[in-house]
Amino acid sequence: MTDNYTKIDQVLFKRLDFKLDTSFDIAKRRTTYWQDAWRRLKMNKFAVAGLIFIIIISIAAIIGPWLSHFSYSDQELQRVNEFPTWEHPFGTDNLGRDLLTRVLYGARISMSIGIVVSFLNLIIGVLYGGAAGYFGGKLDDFLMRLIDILWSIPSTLIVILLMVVLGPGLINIYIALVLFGWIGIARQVRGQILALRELEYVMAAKLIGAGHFRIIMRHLIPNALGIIIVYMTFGIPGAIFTEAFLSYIGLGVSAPIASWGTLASDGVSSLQSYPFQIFFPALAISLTMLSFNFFGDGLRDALDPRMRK
Amino acid sequence: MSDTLIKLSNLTKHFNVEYSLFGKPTKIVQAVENVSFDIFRGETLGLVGESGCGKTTIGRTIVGLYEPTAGTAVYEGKDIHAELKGANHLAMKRKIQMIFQDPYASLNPRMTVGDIIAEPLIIHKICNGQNDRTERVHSLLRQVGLNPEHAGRFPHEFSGGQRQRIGFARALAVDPKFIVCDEPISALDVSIQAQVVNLLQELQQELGLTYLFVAHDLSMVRHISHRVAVMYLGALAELASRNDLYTRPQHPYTKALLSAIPIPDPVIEQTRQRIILEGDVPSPLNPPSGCKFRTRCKYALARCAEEIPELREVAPNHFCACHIV
Amino acid sequence: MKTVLQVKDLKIEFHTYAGVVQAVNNVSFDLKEGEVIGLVGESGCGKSVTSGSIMRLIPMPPGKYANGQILFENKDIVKMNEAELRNLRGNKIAMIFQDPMTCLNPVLTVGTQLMETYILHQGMTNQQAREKAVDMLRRVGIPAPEQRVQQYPHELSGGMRQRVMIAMALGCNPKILIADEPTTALDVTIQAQIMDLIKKLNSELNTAVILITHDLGVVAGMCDRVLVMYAGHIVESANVKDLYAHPQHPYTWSLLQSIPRMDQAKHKLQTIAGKPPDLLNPPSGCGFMPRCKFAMDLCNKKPPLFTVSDSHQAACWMLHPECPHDLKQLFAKEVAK
Repeated sequence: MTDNYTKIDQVLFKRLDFKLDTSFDIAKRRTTYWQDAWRRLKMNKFAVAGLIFIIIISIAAIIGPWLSHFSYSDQELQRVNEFPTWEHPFGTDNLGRDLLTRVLYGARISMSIGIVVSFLNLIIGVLYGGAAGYFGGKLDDFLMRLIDILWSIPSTLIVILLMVVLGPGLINIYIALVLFGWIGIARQVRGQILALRELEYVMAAKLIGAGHFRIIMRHLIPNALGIIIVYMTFGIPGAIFTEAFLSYIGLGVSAPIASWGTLASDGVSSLQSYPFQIFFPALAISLTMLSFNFFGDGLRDALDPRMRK
Repeated sequence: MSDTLIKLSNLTKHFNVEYSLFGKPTKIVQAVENVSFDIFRGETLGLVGESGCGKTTIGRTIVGLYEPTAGTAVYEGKDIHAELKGANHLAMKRKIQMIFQDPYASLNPRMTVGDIIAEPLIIHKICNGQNDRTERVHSLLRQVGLNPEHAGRFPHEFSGGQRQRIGFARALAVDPKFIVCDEPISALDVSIQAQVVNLLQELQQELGLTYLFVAHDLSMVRHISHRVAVMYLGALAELASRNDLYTRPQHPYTKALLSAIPIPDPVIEQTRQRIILEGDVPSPLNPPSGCKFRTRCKYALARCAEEIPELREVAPNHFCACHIV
Repeated sequence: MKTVLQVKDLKIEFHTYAGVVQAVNNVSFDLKEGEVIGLVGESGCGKSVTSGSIMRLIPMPPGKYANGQILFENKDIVKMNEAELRNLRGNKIAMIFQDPMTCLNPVLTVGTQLMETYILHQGMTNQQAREKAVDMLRRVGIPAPEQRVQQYPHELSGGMRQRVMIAMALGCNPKILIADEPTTALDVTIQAQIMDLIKKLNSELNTAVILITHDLGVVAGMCDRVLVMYAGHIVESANVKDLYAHPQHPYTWSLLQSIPRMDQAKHKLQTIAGKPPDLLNPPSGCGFMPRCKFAMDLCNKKPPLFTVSDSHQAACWMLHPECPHDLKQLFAKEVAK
């Protein structure tokens, strides 16, 4: 607080024309929701590492088997149970098949199962949970009680029984995994829709005459996308693991198709003598699941609107 | 201001908040109880009261967001809720619109501002084709004092006051005759409130709109309304022209309410005698019998506990629901 | 009267990903014993940051005390360590907030929360603390305090929770009570009760009060002195009567013009066109200049606080003795209207 009576040039006291700048700048930097989320995701080192690994394994799954000069079923009976060498970086199994190639093929199986199953779960879950959340009332009660009943059934048991009944094969695996897989997403979506439904812009949409379809597709789902994407990302490792587990106990894909589960199963008997035969498939499963989990975690934090700025 | 645009008759709205094992409602919130009043064409009717008085519920019931438990709301002779359920529901939605309180929750964060305003135009098929629609969106933006160049931006890029204007533009898109303003300025800064209120008044003049202005800021309500209705715990306590209500309030609650409002003038404030009400507002789950205000009223009689006071005309065009007056 | 708090040249910044926000800039004021001062301004002006910083409640990354001192009992709060701060908070300086629901622990009874302060700061036994708690509840006007002491926050109404907050704050007889928008979330009749209560306790206990609010009506009723903030600076500080009758800063005057008054009918509310400046890149001149009808070329330089009288200062170049008279008269005429 100073009394500043230094002499000031009279010229400076000239009054300015009051002209308000009406083309106000409304934002310094234009960031959309997605740009902001991406920036936040980049800051999470684990999530980025997870994403990088996912990309690597996806590329390896797609082009890897072509690059290898072995096929997954080529047997070289002179070279059985060989430890890792330059020619066979992952070693060979008890029939002389190159394990690296088999692991890469397994990546194809596991990744495609993970993504397709997760996607199917997404579709069913969103429709189911969306209907329950949006329409509420008796429909919601009924649908949720149904889920409660399904949830209380030991799903692993049913899946196993189903595979026994249906027999091995890729399509049957899809069926078994999707049977219960959609429940988690349905619940999350329902919760999200219930919350969004009370927001004023949804009320406004009703008032301007929007029908159910428009409200769900334009107002509710786009704002629930965050949760939906995150859940899908988390669903993938779950599906991968369940498939591996089924194949491990012999109910999944059949020989000679290599899935990580069958590879692990083949390798378990020689754990003490040729540990690499189970080590590499197990490592593949672990790293892939870990990557998806890190990435999913980071994605959830990045997309959470409350943590903005 | 001569003919009646909206007529509420015995409007009642209850919410069931708890059910017994057999599905019977055990706890009921009596949000609005037997309210009747008219809204005249071209006027601004201020609806005031404190939390729990039911003013927001009335606003939402009139526009059709809630179904009344009993009673009717009629627009130009037609029952609003019957129309909204019928084949002609879009026509009624063009006549009655609403602007909301929360500038952050009233706009879809995933839609651009232009899309938000264009949506009602699309639904009601108001324009011929894309270009016509874009023209109309731009002219609406200009009408509410915003720059049409910003139509491609998202709501989070605007300030609270600007978002309220966007919500207003959305309501105006369908050419409504009646707009319920549900506390549109409570969440805004004081100097921005003035901007939005001035806009509401200008457009009322220009477009011949009728407003139901729901608010709790009595100073602002006084400024913008032609007539004012005071509610307490779901019932209408007093209804009068603006000047009458503020200079000659009749109901004890209105008197206490007016005396509680701080005036930005220290000379007056520091010497005035307030009527301080004791206690808190009773819960709407269990309202007092008879006159709802009797538990805090200095003048309560035995009759006040037994009989619900009727809304009577105690002076020309001045209505009050009190046994004492 | 003794000075109880001295804030000198306080400057607080927030380091965010988008840059450094200059939230509070060059804020200085004194608080005397038993005085009630109001800190007014609109959202973003820095009043909440200023009040939160007095007890070092602002999270320190991203916040930062870039400059300044906060002198209380001859010690600088900015430099205090954890133990000294703990002794200060709730004991010598207390604070109440806008939303009492989030400030009261929902799983503890009201009594337990009240007793906590007494046991911690005054070393009372459980029994003594309980008696004091009941006594405080009675003092803040809660009926049947013996029963209320055992209730949980959700069983009380908004007004009552605010009273409990006040009881918690004043329990240890602090020298200063900081009230951050205590009545904004309350109904108007409850607001009147709480304002009354704070005034009563201020005169009974001689506690100085810093009242932060945007409601000029509440300020008129409660405060002895008022500080008006804009864009992180104090633009005017005066006795309450002087401020309302003879505002010297165009912002203060515009603010007073834009609020409707219950007792006067105004044809049209004056608005202040434009928006407050972006505090990420604060202007080098007067923050109000783009919105000011009386702006001069000189306003591109930041005005210091000029003294209008003993108790009245304003940061506006129109108060410089060399300012041409016609401009000053223009402003005076507008104010007189």
